[in-house]
Parts: sequence; structure tokens; C-alpha cells
Amino acid sequence: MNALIERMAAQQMAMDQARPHTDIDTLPLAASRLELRYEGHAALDRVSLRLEPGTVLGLIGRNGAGKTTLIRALLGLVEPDAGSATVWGRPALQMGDAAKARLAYVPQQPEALAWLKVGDMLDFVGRFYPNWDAAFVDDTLDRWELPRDRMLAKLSPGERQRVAIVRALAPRPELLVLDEPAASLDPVARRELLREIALRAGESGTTVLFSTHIVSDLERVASHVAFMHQGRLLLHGELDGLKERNLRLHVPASAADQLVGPVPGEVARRPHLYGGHSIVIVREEGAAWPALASAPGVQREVLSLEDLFVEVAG
Amino acid sequence: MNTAMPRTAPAAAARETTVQRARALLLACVPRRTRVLCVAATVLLLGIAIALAMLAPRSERGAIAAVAFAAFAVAVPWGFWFPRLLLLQVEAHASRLPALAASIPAALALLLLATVVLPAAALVVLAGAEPVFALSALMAAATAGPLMAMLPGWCYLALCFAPLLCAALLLLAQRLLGLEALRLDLAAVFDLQRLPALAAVLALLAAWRWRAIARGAGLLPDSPWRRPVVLQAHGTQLWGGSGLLDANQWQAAMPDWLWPAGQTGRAGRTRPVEAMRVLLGTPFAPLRRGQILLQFGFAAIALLVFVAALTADPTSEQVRNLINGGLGGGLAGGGITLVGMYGWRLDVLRRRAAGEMVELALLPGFGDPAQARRSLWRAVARPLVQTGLFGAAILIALGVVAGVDAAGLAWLLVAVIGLGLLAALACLRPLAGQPMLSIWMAGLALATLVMLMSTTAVVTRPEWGSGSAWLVGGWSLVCAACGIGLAQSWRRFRARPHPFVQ
Repeated sequence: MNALIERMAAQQMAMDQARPHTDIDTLPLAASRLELRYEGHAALDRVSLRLEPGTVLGLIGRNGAGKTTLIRALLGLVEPDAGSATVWGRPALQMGDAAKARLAYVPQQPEALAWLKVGDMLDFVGRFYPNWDAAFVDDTLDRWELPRDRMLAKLSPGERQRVAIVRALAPRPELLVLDEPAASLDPVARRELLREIALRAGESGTTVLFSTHIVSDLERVASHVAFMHQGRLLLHGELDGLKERNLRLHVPASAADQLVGPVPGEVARRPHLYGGHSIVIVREEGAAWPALASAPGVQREVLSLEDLFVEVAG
Repeated sequence: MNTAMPRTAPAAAARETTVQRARALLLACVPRRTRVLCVAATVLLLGIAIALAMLAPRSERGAIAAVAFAAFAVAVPWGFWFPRLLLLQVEAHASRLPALAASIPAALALLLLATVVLPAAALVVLAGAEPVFALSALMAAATAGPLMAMLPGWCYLALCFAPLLCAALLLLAQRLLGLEALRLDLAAVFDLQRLPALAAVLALLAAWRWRAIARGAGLLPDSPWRRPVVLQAHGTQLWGGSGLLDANQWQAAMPDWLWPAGQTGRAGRTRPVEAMRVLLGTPFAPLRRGQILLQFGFAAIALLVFVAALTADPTSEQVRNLINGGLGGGLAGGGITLVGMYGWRLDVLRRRAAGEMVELALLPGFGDPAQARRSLWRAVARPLVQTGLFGAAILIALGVVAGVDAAGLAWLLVAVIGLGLLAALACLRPLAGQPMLSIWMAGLALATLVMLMSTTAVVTRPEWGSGSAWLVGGWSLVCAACGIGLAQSWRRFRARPHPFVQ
């Protein structure tokens, strides 16, 4: 499995390098071969990523895959052991006020300034942003029934998350980074958040990076998707393209015996209980399906994003 | 909580003896590390008790000393380990495991037999201790720890201020109301003859609290101030776990007028230091006028008590003890507590992944990393220096009131400087990405505590002889160690790409 992950990560890196690139100064976020180890365990293993302006990138992976660490490294909140991250072309660890004023971040479980009242916190934070939208704050607090005069520490996790989202959206950021934003939200609040993200991206061209393990959320708003597994970035591309470029091949035992080495684009392989193999392939953009896909006896099945995720990370 | 639970299959449970079940419960309620530490401390203290019993057989003082060490040995597991059985009992109720909950009283009875009754009998036989005294001393030691763990948070605050309040009330009664007959006889309070009564009261209170908490666990109050401490320690430790030390929970339950932070009035982009203080929270946050008055009020009451005490009867030994105790307790206890409070807050911020450090790192307006570093250090240093100057002023005032000579006052200032260096190091380490507490820091804090107590002893008890050489040597070492630590941490702090990186 590790060899497969290694190969997929290398393939992904080669594909990223081959893709026509936007000038790095206009890229909201970029990472190059980020490495970070915690107690001997690789939380990030040579991760490279480019977030093009106006895209909505859904970062998907299992718990502990390294999504939060990647986001924190991209924003310069942690110092990587190797590699670099940039925000609009400048090192994330040296970000200036101008870049900070253009971005907003919602952590997984916001804990900051819990001793302040909701209104006081938003008024205080608003003083730092030139584009702070006080009307949006008032309107959204009312719409989401969030009390201005209640202390943050006394709110439920879901309410706290929604206050953090209001705080992040109010400065009208050009780059919005959300770490598992829907984790504590009820279905109604989740839909409202997704609608807000889609609206911002569609109307204002806001670039969004959000991590999740809820595939339906991702499918609803993301234009791009990146799979993280064991600290590596395995697949990264346009969501629609990825759906069209994957196949699960059910290879009978007779054909499987004749396979030598990995199939081009192979991302997962499992033996069938009744003999043979199931092989998941993701072909490169513009490339043809491998010959195995049309071999006699081989059955083809297009996977949903969720099934693809399970195959890759399972 | 450790999940190693007793076997639950009915047949296996039926075969289990009470001893086996008690053993399994004890293994389940705390992690191995705590158990090992408790056992090691108990064995050490018991060893001393046995040695004393052997070295001074049948002597009264030897027997008292042996009983005292045995009591300390008993207090360790009852203070740090066994109260967690209550948490287990409450969780057993919540998880609908009545057999587990029902087996805990039997385990407690067995523990009392093993740690109180049998050791008391051994002390009677080996050291010739008086039976009632031995039994009541061990019983008091065994019940005090669980009782403390079962007290709600507000009781700890009350206990901290109780001595000051009692002294103030006593002096007011004597000076203003003329109740001269109202005297506190400390010798009578600590009379060993009263030990059986004390043990009985502690045992009754502990049993009452245990029963009340175990039965009413489902109706616990929301406020951590009103919730028993043991039920807030769901982590691996009874004392000092993350649940207990989450300041947000405690502050959330405070009344508005007592909020230690909340002043955002003038803080903002144009006042970066003030804004950083808001973001750093208590005790760095700017205070409202009412909060400042409250703090000055407490200090004024403390000063008034001392002045009233001294003018009441300057020659009285009791008054001298009160003043010396106030100086020693204030400087050593209060000083180290303040250092811990400032350093701990920054350490919490360093460890919290989605807390104020993220806001500090991503809020625009703090300038480039060098500017942010300067503002951060000012935001940390300003309240620290203010508190230090305020504390030094009170200390010097107390010293003057107590008649401390110029050399003594100078030593008090040296102590304040030493404490200030330790506070600076405790604050700088988390900002440099290092944990506030380490073996090195614990040793340094202990050495500082010893020097603070030595200083107050030398200053307030000149009749004990001059300890100048000891103070010069001790404070030089403490200051040098703090200086080395500060230099190392400062280099790390400056080498970080920005001051809020985690």
C-alpha cells in the first residue's frame, strides 16, 4: 500500500508540474514540498499544492490524514521542517498586514476570546479590518439567531462555529480558509454555510479552501478536490474531471494472473474474495484509458466521489 | 479515564472476590504513571515511619513522629488516587452500570481497612503509639484528601481568603467593638487531643459529600465554581488536569462585575500593545475601573489588617507571628502563584491550536514580525512590571509597618527582583516555543521559593542571627540561573519566523 501511495503522490506531483501555472504572486496559496514531523510521525510528507484564484478547493481525507496541519502550515501558523508555503507570493511565515487583511480563517473548534461577549468580540476584531462589513454582521447575527450579548464561552459548539464564520466573512476576504467548518453544525446551518461559500465564490470571486470528510458537502460547492492520506497529497484536480476520469475495473482471476506491474493510473488494488482483483484507476487529463479497461472479461464501473475516497483512503 | 474495567460476564463476576474487584477498580480509575508515583511516595513515607518506629522504640516523640509520617503516607493515595473512585461511581451511574457503582463502597471499606486500621494497629504494636491517636491521625489523613476533591471550586477561593478575612474580623472586633476577650488561641486549635474529634468530623463530612455527589450526579450545576473538583477532572489527573485549568469555563460562570478581562474599549489597530493584551487575556488584559478598584480594595484590606494588628499590640508574639506569616506567605506563596499565573496563561496559549495565537498571527495591524515581537513583549512585560511594582510597594509598606530595618528592606527588594526574573523566564519560555514547566524550571522555582522563605525569615527574625552570606549566595545563584535561562529563551524567541508560530 505504501508503495502505491508513494507512486500516486509522485504522479500527482508530476501532473501539478506539467500543468500551466499562474504566476506565484497571484496565487492565493501555494506549498512546495512541505514536510512536518510530530514525534517521529510524518504529519506532512512532501506536500505540494497550488490554489488558483477563484477556485473552491475541498480538501478531503480521513481523520489524522494531515488536513489541519496542512492548512496551518499554508497559513504560517506552524513552521514546517522543510519546504515552503506562500500567500500571494510571500512566505506564509512572513505574511504582512496587507495579506492578512485579505484572508480569513475558521479553525475546526474556535476557542479564541471566549471571555468576550459575541458583540464585543466582533466589534473588537472589526477594528483591524479596512473592509469590515458591520451591516453583514448585524444581519447575519439576526438571521442565524446568535445573541450579541452572550459570552462566547457560554455558546454551544455549533453557535460558536457560526460566530467564527460570521467573523471570517465580515472582512469580505479574498481568500477564505475553513477547517472542517461543518463539523459542529446542524443540517440547516450547514446548508446556509455552503450557500454562503458558493455565493462568495460565485459573486465575489473569493478563493476558498475548506477541509472536510463529508463528501456531499464537497460535491455541493467545490470546484476542485484534493485527497490527503497519511500526510501525502494523492489526487488533486477539478471535481468534475475527477469524476469522469476514474474507473473501477473488476479483473477476473485469469486476466489478473497475466498482469505485470501496476496498471497506468492505478490508485488502489484489492483482491476479490472469489478470485481476481478490483483495480481503481484515475487517468490523466486527455489520456486514453489503459488497454486493460477494454480487455475481455474486465468489468468497468465509474465510482462516485465517496467511493473513490474510500478506495484511496480505505 | 483508564478503560481497564473488571470482567463483566456474570459468571466471572460471581467468582470475583471483593479484593479482586477493588483491585480492578483501583487500576481503572487512574493511569499507571499516577499509580506508580503514588505507590513510590507512600512507600518512601512509610519507610521513614517504620525507621522512626525502630530507631526510637516506645518513646513518645518517636511514636508521634512515626504516626505523622504514616499519616502523610496514607494521605498520598487518598489525595491523588482513591477519590477518582467517586468519578468512576458517577460515570457508572451515568452509563447504567449498577453493579459497578455498587461495588465501590465495598472497595472503599476495604481500602480504609488496609490503609487506616491495619497501619494504625502496626503503629501501636511497633512504635507504641497511643491507639486512638494513631487511628484518628490516619483517619484524618485518609478523609482530608477526598473531602478536598469533593469541594466545589468556590470553596478553594474562600479558603484562600479565609485567614485574611478571619484576622480582619477578629481585629475589627477587638479594636472597634472592644471585644478584647475575643482571642484566638492557636495552641488550643492545634492541640493533638482534639484529633479524634477532627477525624470524626472529616469522616462524616467526606461520607456525606460522597453520598450526596454519587446520588445527585445527574443534577450537577453548570458552573464549575459550584461543581465538585473531582467531577471536573475527566482527564488523566485529579489535580491540575486540562479540564480543571480551562480558564474559559471558569470565567464564563463569573458574574459580570468580576470578569477579569473584557476591556476592549481603546484596543485596536492604532494601539497594538493594548490589543495584544486583550488577546492574551487574563492576567494580561487591561482591567476595567471597577476591577482595578476591586484589586486595590483587597490590597487595602490586607494592609489595614496589618496596621490594625500592629497598633493593637506591637509587642504581642501573636501579632508578630501574623505579620511574619503575612510577609512570608505574601512574598513566597503569593509571588510564586503570580509567576505561575502569568506563565501558565502563555503556556495555555502556546498549546491551544485554535485559540488566541491564531488571532494574533492572522489579525492585520501588528506590523512585520519584528514589530509584532516588540509589541508582544511589551504587552507581556507591562502588566508584569505593574504588578511587580505594586507588590513591591505593598511589601515595603508592610516591612516599614513591621519595623524592618533598612538592610531588611533591601533584602526584600532583592527578593522581588529575583521573583521578577523568574516571572520573566516563565513568560518568555512559552513565547519562545518552550513549555513553561520543565524539570529545570521546577528546580528553579523550588530554589526561588526556598530563597523567598529564607529572606523573610532573616528579615523578620533578626534574633535568629544574620543570614546575609546565605542570602547573597542563594540569590546570586537564582539570579544567574534565571539570567542564563532568559538569554537562551530570548535567542529562541528572536529566531522564530514570527512570534505567534506554534
